[in-house]
Amino acid sequence: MTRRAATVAAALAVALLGLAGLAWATLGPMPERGAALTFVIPPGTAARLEAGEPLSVLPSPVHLTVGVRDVLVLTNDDEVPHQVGPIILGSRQTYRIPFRRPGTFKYNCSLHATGTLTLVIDPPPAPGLERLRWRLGSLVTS
Amino acid sequence: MSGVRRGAALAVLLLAGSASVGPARAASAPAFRSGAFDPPRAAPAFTLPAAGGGAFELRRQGGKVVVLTFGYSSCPDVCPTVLAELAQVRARLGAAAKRVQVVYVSVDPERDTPARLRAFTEQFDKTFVGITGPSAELAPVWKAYGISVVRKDLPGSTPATYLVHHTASVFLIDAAGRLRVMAPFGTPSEDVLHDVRLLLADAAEAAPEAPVLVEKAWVRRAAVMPDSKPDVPNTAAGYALLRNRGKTADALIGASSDAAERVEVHETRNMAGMMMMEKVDTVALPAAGRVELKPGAYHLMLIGLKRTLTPGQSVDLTLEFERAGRIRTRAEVR
Repeated sequence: MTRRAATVAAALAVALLGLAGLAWATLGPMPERGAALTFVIPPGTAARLEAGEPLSVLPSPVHLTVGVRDVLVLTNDDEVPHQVGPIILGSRQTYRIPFRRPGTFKYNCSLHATGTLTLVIDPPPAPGLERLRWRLGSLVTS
Repeated sequence: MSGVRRGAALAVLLLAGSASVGPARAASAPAFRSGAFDPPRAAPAFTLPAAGGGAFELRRQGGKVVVLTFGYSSCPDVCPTVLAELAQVRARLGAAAKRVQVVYVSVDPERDTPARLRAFTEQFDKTFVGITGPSAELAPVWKAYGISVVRKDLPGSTPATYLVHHTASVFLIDAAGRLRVMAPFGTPSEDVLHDVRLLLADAAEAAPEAPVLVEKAWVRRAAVMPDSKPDVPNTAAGYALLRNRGKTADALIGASSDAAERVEVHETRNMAGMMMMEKVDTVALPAAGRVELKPGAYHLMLIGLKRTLTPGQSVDLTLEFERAGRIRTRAEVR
């Protein structure tokens, strides 16, 4: 085999590998379980509420994505219990809920502007560009 | 539950570490599939009349896993779904279902009479306990579990056909009375089943502190004869029910009493019509099993009585088990 032929063969092999990688990245399976999205009620929250301090707001809807970030974690680091939607969290207690299926959940929440806390669980990124974008994104963050 | 700032926290939650991509759960926590509390705390206690009669006391469920949910008998859609799924969960548990108690607390005490609520829950599973009563008694329970209850009068509805919007979460309370799981409405029933199974396994492992019980102990009356000689000792037979609640087999390996020099374990055997008594070294006590020491079978033999045993008295009996160690009990003289 000439040197030229060898170079072509090597380039072809690299290209094939690259194509296979790209195919996997766009069409390959998603992880079954994603990471957690964590919200923390910091110490002194009740006191600050009573003092009428403005505090930042939990987004609504809260978005989770199956296989990407599909575990909601609420932690109460305050000295007193707090209620978030249907969840009563004792002081220094954590509530952790995984979601394995897409869907929308609405909970009553009296102080929220709309009166409801909405959780939207999105399906995993679709095969193709979406999945490729997610995989590139996770390469960057990890 | 005073001090709960309902909803207030929602307005103030700070988004922290939302970009964290850490492991989704602590390695030590059991892998619940529905929403779980860590650390678990005691479930808010309540004692209320059960729709089927008697009182239901949450604290006294005898080591059962309690599945608690809220609803009402005129509920058109959500409640029948939840109860049908819970009935399915119990059915799929098979024999273990007897260690699970489903409790259904009314959010519509105005219309839910005990008879009506009972008829409603029994459609799904006869073991379900329905709970209703005056609003004043139910409301603190709703509040303690974060259940919102809102009456909705629809256009054209009569006073008898209103709806009650309510939180339809399912709570799982472990055998030790701790609130472990709050599964929001919509949690797949196989996930609830999975978590109930986890709690049952947990209970079997952690629980019974004293897996072996000695119950209903008694000894037969016996006199110390005036002319008793050391080679012809006075004896009395003793009986008891041995129960093993654990999941490990045990064995009775010895016994002693304050009323006798020594205590042996004997077995009565019928050898071709002749009753024979034989000393045995161990009596096997299978996991989750029971052995009755009774006349004509295994029994204790108190040998060398120190006093006459007359009915109405009692004696100390100590039984020794291979795993559970020594268990002391009082045995009545009959």
